[in-house]
Order: sequence, then structure tokens, then C-alpha cells
Amino acid sequence: MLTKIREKAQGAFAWGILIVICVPFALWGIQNYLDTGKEAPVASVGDKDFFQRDVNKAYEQYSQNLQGMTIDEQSLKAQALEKLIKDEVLLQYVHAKGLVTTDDTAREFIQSLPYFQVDGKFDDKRYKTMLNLQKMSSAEFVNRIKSALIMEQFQRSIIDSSFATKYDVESFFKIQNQQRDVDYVTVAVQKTAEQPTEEEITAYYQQHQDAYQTPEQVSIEYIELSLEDIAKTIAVTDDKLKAYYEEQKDQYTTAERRKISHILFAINDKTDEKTALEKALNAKKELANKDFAAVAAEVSDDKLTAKTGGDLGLFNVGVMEKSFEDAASALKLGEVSNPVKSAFGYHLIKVTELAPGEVKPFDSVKNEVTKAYQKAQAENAFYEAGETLTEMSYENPDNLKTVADALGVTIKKSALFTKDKGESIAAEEKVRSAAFTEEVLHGNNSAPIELGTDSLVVLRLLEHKAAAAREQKDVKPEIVAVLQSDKARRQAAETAKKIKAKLQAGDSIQAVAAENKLQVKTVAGLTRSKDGLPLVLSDAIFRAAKPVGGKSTVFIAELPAGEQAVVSLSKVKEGVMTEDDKKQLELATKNIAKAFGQTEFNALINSLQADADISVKR
Amino acid sequence: MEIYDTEEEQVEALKRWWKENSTSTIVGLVMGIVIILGWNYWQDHKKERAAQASATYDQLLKALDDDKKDSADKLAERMQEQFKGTEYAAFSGLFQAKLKAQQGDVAAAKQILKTIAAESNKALGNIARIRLVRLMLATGEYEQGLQVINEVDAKQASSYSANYDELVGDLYVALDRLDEARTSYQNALREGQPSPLLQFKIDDLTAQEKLEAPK
Repeated sequence: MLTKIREKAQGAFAWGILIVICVPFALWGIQNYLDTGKEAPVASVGDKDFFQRDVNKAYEQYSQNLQGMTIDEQSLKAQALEKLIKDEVLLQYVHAKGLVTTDDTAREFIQSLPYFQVDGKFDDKRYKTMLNLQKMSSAEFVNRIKSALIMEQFQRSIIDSSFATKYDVESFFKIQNQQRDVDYVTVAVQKTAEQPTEEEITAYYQQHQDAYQTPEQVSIEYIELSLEDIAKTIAVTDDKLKAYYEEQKDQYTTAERRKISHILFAINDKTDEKTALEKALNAKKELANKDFAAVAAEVSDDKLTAKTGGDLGLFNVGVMEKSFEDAASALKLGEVSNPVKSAFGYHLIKVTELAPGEVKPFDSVKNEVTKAYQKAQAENAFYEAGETLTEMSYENPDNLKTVADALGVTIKKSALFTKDKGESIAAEEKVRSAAFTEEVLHGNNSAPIELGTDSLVVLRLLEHKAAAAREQKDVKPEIVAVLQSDKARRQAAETAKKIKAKLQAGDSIQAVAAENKLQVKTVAGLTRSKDGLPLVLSDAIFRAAKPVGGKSTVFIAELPAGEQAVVSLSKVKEGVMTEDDKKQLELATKNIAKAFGQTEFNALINSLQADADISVKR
Repeated sequence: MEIYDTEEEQVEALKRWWKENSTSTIVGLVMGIVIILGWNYWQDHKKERAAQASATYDQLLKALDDDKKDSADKLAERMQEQFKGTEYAAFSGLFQAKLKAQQGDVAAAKQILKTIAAESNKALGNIARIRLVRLMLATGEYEQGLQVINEVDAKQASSYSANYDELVGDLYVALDRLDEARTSYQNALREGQPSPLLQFKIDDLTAQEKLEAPK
């Protein structure tokens, strides 16, 4: 068929067929090529795909908000992706529900943003520059703003429309301001001198092997390249130093300081060039017996500087017109120039201060020059040595000698160190973690480790001491201490239990306390916000069951140091609003309403996410 | 596929085809164009209406910001009539219910929320229902409140169950059925995000027996 078609290819009909057939094929072809070049999305929401670059971008923005905090990158990226998905789900929902932002609203909002404002007003130029910096088109930006505005409108609609009733607020204060009356005794942990038996010690030792181990340790040999060391070896000759000094003369030169003042005779609508020049010449004559500053104040058309005697401050090359600069730099101290013409008019210029520039002589800066020269020269050598080190240590993974000989450096050795702690070179965390990699433990050279910008280390294993159990006799004192303190705690707990049982049986707390030589402490009207009691204790008090039928609730709370507090809760008083609360009632109502709104909104978002078609590749 | 030998034959074939099919082709084309135009018009209209609704709604939000309760109430009323069926109408309803509740007109607030709960989509329906029950709690209609939550389709409410359970707990507390209240609060805590107030509510209902056993 194809040959037939080609024969007839001059006929109009056949052309039509060819076009009909070829175009889709051609496009399909392109499609396929496009597809193969595409990376796989890391996540998708509905038909919106997210790629790694989107996650990276979101992560960058996300991590900027958390500057200075060290959170590991992987989990931050996961959070950033989560947020991307969450936002996208919401965005798709609000779009589907027909929420829109008008162009006017978006424009108004953008114009109200301070980033785009100059002197409190929106500035189009600034807007475009800022967008360019972000590599974003205006259309794209407006779209994003619109999306953000819709989502915000939606969020507001849910959260701000929530309310709290009077009942809600009163219930809140009933609980929040609740008061509880308690009496309690504290049973201290009494140190016991009783020695545990050998059997007890052995049993404990065997059950807690993990706790009694010496950590894994290694020592290493290593080659360290440092820019500083290489710099010291660079040979210097006076000739080379001088050449370097000439080259870098700017570094060793202090610039000239020249302060100038001027009097301006402006050329404008009222004053033509000739008049201005005449005025300038007259003034110049006057200056013969009059102070420059006084004349400036009197006649200068540069009103801004006239008040300060025409002072223009330090003279910098490249600010003024060339004619002005030439004249200004040619003047001697105190000298007044002839009228000089610029775009503004005619100037009389005076140099009011002049400190000539100074080139420090070679001899006085020789030390500095030597150091700078050596460092500059060493940088190349350091880079090359680094390359050699990297290559040769990789090619000869079973020793460091080859590369050390090639570089002419010595191999250094470290003492034993653990994963967490080491001295001298092993004080570097990077070195320690490299030393404990699989590769190094198997006897290979490590990859090069950069310590700062000007030091490079390659290391290999010298000695490896695996983690080992410490012998029982070595750890006996530790075990004894643990067992003794355990026992002491147990005894305290037992005493506390006995006290509790007596209180529950109806004994008075005073009597029981006296019996056990303890002090009764009484707290009346304890509130949640009042401190004074240990946190665990007051938490436990507010978590305890309310007393029923006039019978106190008795319970034990363990305090941080192991003491046991036996508490008798005698009364719970419902909270009421204090005078302060009443004054702030409106605010409290608002806050409670907002909290309700927030939980409702969160539930809504969760529901949307549960219903959305989300897939995340791991 | 037929292959024609000469161009005359091709032209003939075309003519024949046209004679047979001209009417249906033209009708088809016209219908297509009408449908496209109609669709475009409908889309434009929808967009226009949505933009109007959004702009009016923004006015309502602004009035609320400025604490102009009367004009906010009127705007909310207007939104619900003029843009009935849109999401914005429902939002306006939520705000109007809040205004009414604040002004003490609980009956009106309830009516608005009932309507939204019945007529809106899943999200707004649940939100309105939660608020409706909160009003019932305030006005002592505890059993009725439990009834409303009972009637919620579990599938529709799954992500909102923590909100409902906390409300159920509150209703049981009001009814002095503390064991049931405790269970509801504990369910809410398990399903939802941790909240200090909810924790307080649970701690406040600690059962006596639990503390008889040694800690």
C-alpha cells in the first residue's frame, strides 16, 4: 500500500491521507521521546505530580524558616513534601468547590506587600526586579498569590466562623480554675548499707550485660595535607617576592585622601552660560581676600552644601563628571580652581584636606609579602597534592606508604578512640565517623576527608578493638550501688503502700505520719497554675479521682528522686471565673472559639486528605 | 481501503459521498458549534458569578473585621439568597449563625446550621452539625444533641470522629453519665490530636477504682 501511496503522492487526495497519517505519527513519536526524558514524580495528588525539584524547592523555603536549628535534612524534606501535598489537596478542593479570587483582589494584595514598595508605595520596577530574582514570571506569581488567597479565604471561613457559647466558656473555667485541697506525706529514700549477696550481683550482671561494656575503639594512621604546611615549604627569593609585591601593590598602598569643597554657579532658565561664568570669575576674584566657606554660603547655587561652606566630603574618582574630576585631582592643598564647567554649571573647587597616598616600602612589609606569596603559591601545590592523594590512596587501598612516599609526607598515628570521643586528630567528628565506616574497618583507605577548606586527610585502620564485656569484678562496685539504691527505693515504696492502706482504712494522716516520723504537709486551694509543688505531684493531684461521699481519695505519686508522696485528696472545688477572668471574658471567648475552629479545620483537612487520591513513592 | 486510479474517480467519489451525507454533516457541525458556544457561555457565566460571589463575600469578611455586625448580618443574608447553592452562601451561613448565637438568638442560629448540615457537602455538613450540637449543649437539649450525633453516617464523619466524641463526652457530663463521658473522651483522645483541655476533661473524670490498685 505504501508504494501505491507514494506513486500517487502528487494527487491532492493522497496528500490528504499522508497528512492525516503522518501528523499523528510524528506527534506520537515526539511524545515518546518526551516521556523517556522525564523523571518520575516522587508524589502525586490527583493529576498533579510533584518532582524531586519541587520538594527541594519547598525544602529550601522550609529550612529558611528554621534557620539555625539542626534538624536532619531527610526528615525536613519529608515534612516539606507533606506540606506540599497538604496544600495541594486543599487547593484542589477549593478549586473544585468553585472558590475564586478576583484579579482585583489579587492585585490589591500584591500592591499591599511591603517587599514591592518603595517609600510606602507599590513600585512596578521593584516588583519586576524581585520577581526576576526569583526567576518567576508575573503571571506565575499572580497565580500563586491567587491560590494562596483562596486557601486563606477558605481557612478563615471555617476557623473564624466558629464560636464558643457561654456554656463552653463556663465549663472551661470550671476545669481550668478548679481548686483541690490535699494533705500529704513524703517518704524519703533511705540509703541502705546492706551489702547485696554475690548471687544477686551475678544475677544483675548477667541480666544487664549491655550496660557493662567497653565501647568499640580504633586507632588509625593517616596522612594530613594542610595548606599551611605546604606554604611553609615554598622557597622564596627576594626577586620573586619583589615581583609579587609589585603585582599586588594595591594591597600595600593606602589611597590618597582628598577632601574638596565647591561653589556652584548654576546654568538654568534664569542664568545663561555667560552670566554664570562671569559670576564665577567675580567670585574667584573675591576669594583673594575672603574666606571660601563664606563665599560659598553667600553665592553658591548648591544650597545643600552652601550651608557647610560647600563641603563635598572625600573625593572619589568616578562620581563626578570628568572635567570636574580632572580639575579636582590636579589641585594642591588650599588652592582654588578656575571655573570648571559641568552639566550643572560652573564650579569653583577648593581642596580643603589632602593626605597623599602612600606605598608601604617593600622592606617594611616583607614578612606580610612572604606569607601571602607562600600561601598563593601553595594553593596550587595543595590542590595538586590533594588530587594525587585522592587518586593514589584510592588506587592503593591497602596501604598509605605509596602515596606518602610520592608526596613526601610522613604518616602519623593516632591513639585509640571511640565513635563519640577522641583526641587530637580524632577530636574531629568527620575523622571519627570515617574511621568507623565499613570500608575502613575492612582495612581499606578512607575517602579523603576535608577538614575546613585548607586541610585534607586520608586515614586507614591501625588497630580495632571490638566492644567487649567488662568483667564482673571490675564493675562490682557499680552494681552494688545500683542494687542498693533499687532496694532503698523499694523500701520507700513499701512504706508508702502501708501508709496508703492505713489512710484508706480510715486512720488520720496525722496519726500515721507521727507513727512513721513524717511531716504532714497541707495545701488548700491548689490550682493548676499555681506552682510550688513538684510538677509530677501537682499533675498527679489533678489527675486523681474526686473524693466521693466525704471519703478522701488516697494515692501515691513517685517524685523524681524516687521519694514517694502519699497524698490524701479531701476536697475538689469547681472553678469559677476570677475578676481578672471576667475582665478578659471577651478575649477568652474568642480564644476558645478559635481553638474550636482550629480543631474543626484540622479535622476537615484530614478528611480531605483521606478522600484525596494521593500517592507517594518511597 | 479503496484506492482510486484517477483523479476524476476521486472527485466523483467525493461528490457522491457529499450527496448522501450533506444534511447530517451540516446538522452535526451546527450542533457542535452550538454546544461549544453554549458551554463557553455557561462557563463564563459560572466564572462571573463565582467572582461576584467571592467579591461580595470579601465585603462580608471586611464588615466582620470592622465589627459592623448589622451590615455583616445583612450581607450574609444577601449572599445566601443571591448565591444560593454556592460554597460562599454556606460560608456566609456559618458566619450568620455565629452572629445570631452571639446576639442570643440561638433558635435562628440553630435553624441556619440545621439547613447547612442538611444541604451542604460533607465538609461543611459536618462542621455545621458540630456547631449545632454545641448550641444544643448550651441550651440544655442534651438528649437531642446525642440524637443528632447518633444519626450521623459514620462513613461521612470518620475524620471528624474526635470532634464528635468530645462533644458526646460533654453531653454525657451534662447528663451526669460520667462513665459514658469518660469513654467518649478517651475515644476522642485516641482519634484526634492531643489537646490540653481534653486531657483536663479526662483527668477530671478519673474513676475511683483505678487508684485502688497500686500504681
